[in-house]
Parts: sequence; structure tokens; C-alpha cells
Amino acid sequence: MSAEPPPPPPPPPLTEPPQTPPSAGPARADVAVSARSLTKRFGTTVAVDGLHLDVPRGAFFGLLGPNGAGKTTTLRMVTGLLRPDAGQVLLEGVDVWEDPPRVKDRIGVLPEDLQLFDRLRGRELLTYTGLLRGLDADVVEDRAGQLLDVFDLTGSRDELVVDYSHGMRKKVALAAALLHSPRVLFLDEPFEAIDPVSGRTIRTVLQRFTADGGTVVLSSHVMALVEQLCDHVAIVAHGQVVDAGPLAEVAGDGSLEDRFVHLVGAREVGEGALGWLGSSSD
Amino acid sequence: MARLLVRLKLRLVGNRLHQGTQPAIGFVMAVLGGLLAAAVGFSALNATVDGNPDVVVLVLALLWLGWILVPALTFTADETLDPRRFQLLPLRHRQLVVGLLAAGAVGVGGIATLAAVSGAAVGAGRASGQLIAGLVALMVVVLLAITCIAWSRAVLTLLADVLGTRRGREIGAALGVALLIGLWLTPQLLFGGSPIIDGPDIDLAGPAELARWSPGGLGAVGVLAAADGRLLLAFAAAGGLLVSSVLALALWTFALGRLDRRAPARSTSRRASALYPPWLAWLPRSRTTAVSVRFLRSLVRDPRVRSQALGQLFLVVPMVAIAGPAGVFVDEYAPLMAAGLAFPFGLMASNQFALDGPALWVHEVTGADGRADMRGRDLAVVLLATPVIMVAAVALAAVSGGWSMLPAALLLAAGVLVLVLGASNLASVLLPVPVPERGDNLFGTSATGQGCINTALLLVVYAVVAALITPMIVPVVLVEPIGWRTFAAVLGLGYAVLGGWLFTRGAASYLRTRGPDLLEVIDWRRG
Repeated sequence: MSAEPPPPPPPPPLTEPPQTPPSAGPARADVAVSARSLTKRFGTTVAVDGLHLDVPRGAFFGLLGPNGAGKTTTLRMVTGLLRPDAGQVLLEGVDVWEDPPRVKDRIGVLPEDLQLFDRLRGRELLTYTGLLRGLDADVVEDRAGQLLDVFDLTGSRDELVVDYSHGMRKKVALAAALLHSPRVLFLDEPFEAIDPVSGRTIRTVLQRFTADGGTVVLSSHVMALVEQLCDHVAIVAHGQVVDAGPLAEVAGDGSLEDRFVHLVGAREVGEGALGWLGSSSD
Repeated sequence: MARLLVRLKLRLVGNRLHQGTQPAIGFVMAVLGGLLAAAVGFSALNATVDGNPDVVVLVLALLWLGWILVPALTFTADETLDPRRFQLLPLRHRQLVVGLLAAGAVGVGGIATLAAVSGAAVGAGRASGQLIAGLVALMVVVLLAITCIAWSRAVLTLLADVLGTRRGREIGAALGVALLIGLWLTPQLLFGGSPIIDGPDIDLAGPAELARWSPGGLGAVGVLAAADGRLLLAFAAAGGLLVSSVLALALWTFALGRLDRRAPARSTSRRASALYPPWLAWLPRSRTTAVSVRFLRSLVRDPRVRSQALGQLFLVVPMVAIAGPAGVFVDEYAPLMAAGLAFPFGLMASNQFALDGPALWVHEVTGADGRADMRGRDLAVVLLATPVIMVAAVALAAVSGGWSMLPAALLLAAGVLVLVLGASNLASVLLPVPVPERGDNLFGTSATGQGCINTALLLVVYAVVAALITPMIVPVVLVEPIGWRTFAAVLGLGYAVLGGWLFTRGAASYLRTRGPDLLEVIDWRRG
């Protein structure tokens, strides 16, 4: 992991403005993930409200939004983990909800809630994941060893995952998501609880993945990270995409954070509010 | 796929054994329990096939029912079969169902079941004197074991989906209560008496006739037919079991599909409900009463709390099953039976910290006094138990005419409740039983044997508490004349208050100094 990979070729620009659903025609070859009118309600709460999204093939795509904006719900619906109430998701032209196993074969997912077999050792987790995905045992052996090495988990390969730290669990889950060499990788807050050294390794791995033609979709709150990694972004608020496109276009003349705050709406803390903070509670 | 999932299950069980002494003890206990159940079941079924067909029908029907109810009500389905853990993988539901069925069969329960029901096949072969009849019966019992596992997993997966919603959990609570009441009434409805009291003369034909229509009963029909040499009927029963298995697998596949598409449990209500419900609005607002109402709410909403509470109320069932037919309800002592209710109510607090780990964590973080938590839950139990016990005591006095015993009965109930609550407080810190952290996941048990350890710990608590309340009960029952019984109950109440106070004080002291240790023990992932 010493050499930085060359920068990925710029993906083709998006032509549709956000929230404008194109007709449900044949899938475009330059789009890896396409969501149309995606909607999900939980009781009276509308988590995702007719969302449209196009992720260009080969992009490093950042899904941004404040807490509760609908990012995780969107990712779950796009990856076949949660059935939408309405709308359609195409992954490389395949309808996610018509044939979920076919789609899951092409994608890797690092979900927010890590449901791992955590009474397996790190190495075993990767081995069983690979075998359950139908990979050849030798291939699994080889790839698992490499992934453990890259993510600095070789020393912990024989420890139970239940004894891993949160960051280590995240790394082993990411390794499991990469094991079958997916074409699209969905990552929900991948850098949360990750130390800086591991973070740099993961960034390198992901950049190499997109350089080789893979597509990464990640959700994050960390603007600096998104600006550093992503070439395309979508800003989600109240279950809808409020802006999307190449990073430079979305950010405009200012910073991405300024644009984000402008679109999402900032709440100012009044001068008199929380005046008690910092005073002694004695 | 099936072979791979079996290997995965065995690996998970093997890894668990290397996690420490307690998991190893749990596994050994589970294996010994399985061996015992298999041996007893084998010999009993072997002996009864040609002697008492109704018993065979009832036993096999109950076996099937047990496979469904026990994991669902006790949260003892192990995580190796949790379908949510396979959601990211490109597996067809049909593949998963077959694989998980095979994995389910290699557990202690599956093997013990197959071994036990094999006794019926051996008995059938012996009774008929034909090898072919024995082989047909063996086919029937293998299909029966598959049916049991398939229905168990299908219902569990369906429930795992239903429990993902608050409404589902509330319906679950209602069904649990209905089941409890049903079990209370079962001996009377089915047998017209108690099998414990009335012994082998009881008429089992009616219940057996009903049970024949269950998959378990169908298995019994097949075995009994083979024993009689009626192989055509045995084959027909086997066909019925096959259809039943296929139906269960189809239900399981359907449930997997639903589970796959549902978001993790979350509250969908935006209505801000008041912390204190109307019927408790009279309580003063304090830390203690806030904990009380929260605990009462969790009895309805949290299946872990509910299943423990129902399990403890279930302790009353044998008492009613014995006392009812024995005529105690029409005796002057009848009101004293109400005091028996205080025992399971008091035990509701016996695992309070494991059931509410986050609350303990908050106490440790904030430095708040954990005793408020204990007092709060104790008050919740008192609020719940008092009307039930009073109504039961008055009703029993009215039925039996034993009004003179009512004061003693109420005093005794109060004493039992106070003492058992104190002992439960102490048990909750000294012998906590880790429980899954999420109340909506039925597949929460970490591995084979955990349930055995939990049961053993609970039995220790029950035994100690029963020994403690005995000195209160005996004088009230034996002292003559009746007036002195009330006096004995007053003395008993004093003993209970003193004991309860001492136990609670000990628990509070432990909590003050060993809170972090307790947090570590109740962490179910490491337990």
C-alpha cells in the first residue's frame, strides 16, 4: 500500500437535474445505480420522499445529509435490504427488487448496523462469507489473507470478532464486503470509529477500487472527507435529493460545507440559549 | 449450502466453548440434559407404543408444540440461525431454508429429539414383529423431527418479523397472557381434573383425539399404525408429515422474504405519550416513580421483560393444578392461595439490571444512586401485584367462605412480596442472567447451553427464595385458633420487612461499589 493509485478518470457528468425523474426507459450504460421516485414511510414518518438519484459508473459518490435525512434508509433500499413503498432501483440495469440475490452478487455493503457472526474469528468470518458467496475455497483463502493484511488485522485474525474494537469490526466488515470483488460498494459511515492510520489505508483501497472501474457510494457527515474522496455528491434533506452532481458543481464557488448548510438550513444557537453551560452545577 | 451452514453452526458452537468456563459448563449441561431427555424419551416411547396409544399421541403432539413455543417464549433460538445475518449475501430463500433446517437439526435439541422419538420406532418394530414396520415407523419419526424443526423455525422467523413492530410486541404480550390463562385452565378443560392428583386413571382419550390432528399427533398415528402392522395408514401419516413439512418450509420462505424487506425495529409513532399513564397519574413525580412507570411499560413492550414475567407467573400453574382438584379452593384456607401469587410477582425484579443494562450504565456514568432504580422497579411490582392479589384473595374468600382467613392472607401476601422483592434485588446483582440487548430479536441466545445456565441460575434463586418464605407460611397455616393466625402473619410480615430491607441494602451496597463489574457480567455478548 505504499504507492498512491492514479486519480480515477472523471466520470461522465449527469445531465438530469436532481428530483426530475426521467422516463423509466432502458438503463443507461454510464449509470451504475439509478433510483426513481423512491419512497419509504414508517407509520406517519416519511423517511424517503420520492427520491431520484443517479450514480455514475466508476464514481466515488458521496451521499450527504443531516441526521434523519434518509441516507441510511435510502442505502438500505438501494441495496435490497429494505423494500421501498414506491419507486424503482436499477443497479447496472438490474431491478434490485426483482432479483435481490443477483444484485447482491454484484455489490458489497458496509451497513450502519453491523450484523456479523461475531463468534467467528476474523479469518473465519471472511472464509465463511466467501464460501457462502460461492467463491472457490482457494480464492477465498488467498483474498482473505490479503485483505486481513491490508486492513492490519493479520495479528487479530484468530481472535473472535466479538472481542474486536468497533473500528476493527468495521474493518473486517469492509473486508467481507470487498472479498468477492463487487462492482458497486455501498458504505454507510465507513470512517466512523476508524483510527487515522486505518482511515488512510481504507481511503487508498477505495480509491484503487474506483480507479479499477468500481463504483463507491458512501454516506457521511464529514465534509472534509467527502471533499477529499468523492468526485460526485448528492445532498439529501427531508428524504429528497436537494442537489446532486460533480463535487465542484455542487460546491460552487464556496466550500461544500457552506453549500450543505445553505441547502439543509442551519439552526443558529441564540445568544441567550444554554447560558447555564459551563457554570458550576454545585 | 446445507453442508456449509452446518459447518458454520458447528464452528460457532466450537468457538463458544473456547470463550471461558461458563460457556463450556453450559454446553456440557445442555449435552447432559439432551442425553437425559433422549434416554427418557426413547425408553418411555418404546414402552408405551404397544400399551398406551393416547399417551404416545399426547407426548408427540406436545413435543411438536414445545418446539414452537419454547424458543419463542424464552428467547432461546441461537444466533447461528438468525436470518438477518445472511441478508447481505446473494442467497435464495429456498437455499437458506434448506441450509438452516440442516443446521437446526445438528443442535443438541434436534439430535435429542430424533433419538427420543426413535424409541417409538423401535417400539413399533418390536410390537409388530416386522422389520419393515420398524423401518416405516423410523421414516415417520424422522419426518416428525424434520416437521418439528421446520415449524419451529418458520414460526420463529415469522415472529421475528412481527416483533419488529411495537404493535406486534403488544399483540405478543396479549397472546402470552392468553397462553398463561389457557395453561391454567388446561388441566381442567382437557382432563376434567389434575393428572397429578388423579394419577393414571385419568381419561386421556378426548385430548388425544384432538392432538391427533396436529403434526406431532400425525407422527404418533403413523408410528401406532406401523406397530399394528397397518403400513398403508403409516405411509399415509408419513405423507401427511411430508405435506406439513413442506407447508412449514413454505411459511418459512415467506417469513424470510418479509424479514428481508423490513427495516430494523423502530418506533413509528410521533405521538408524545405521557410518561405517567392516566391510571398512574396520581403518583408523585420523582426518580423512583419514573422508573416504576417505565418498568411497567416495558412489561408490555419489551418481550424479554414480558417473557421473564410470564415465566415466573407460570410458577403458579402447578400450584393451581394440584390445589384445584384437591378441593383447596372451597376450603377455609383458600384465601392463603392468593399469597402464593406474591412469589412470582416478587421474582419479576430478580434480573432487573440485566434486563435494563442501559439504565445501569446511565447510573454508572452519572454517579446517580442505583437504589432509586431498585426502589422504582420494586414499586412497579407492588403496583401491579397489589390489585391482583387483593382481588384473588377476596374472590377465594367469597368462594370458600373463609373470610376469617382474609386478613392473614393479605398480611402473608404483603410479607411474601416484600421478602421476595428484597431477595430478588440481591439476586439481580449477585446472579444476573445476561439477556439479548435487543428485545425484538428472537435469535438472541449466543450459543448452545446458555439457556441451561440461565435456567440453573433461576432455579437457585427460586430455591433460596422459597426457603426464605417457608418460615412465614408454616405458622400461618398451622397455628390454632384462627385469630392467632393473623398474629402469626403480622410477625411474619415483620420478619419479611426486616429480611427485605437487609437484602435490598446488601444489593445497594454491592451496586455502589461493584457497578462496573455488574455491567461487564450482564453484557450478553461476552456472557
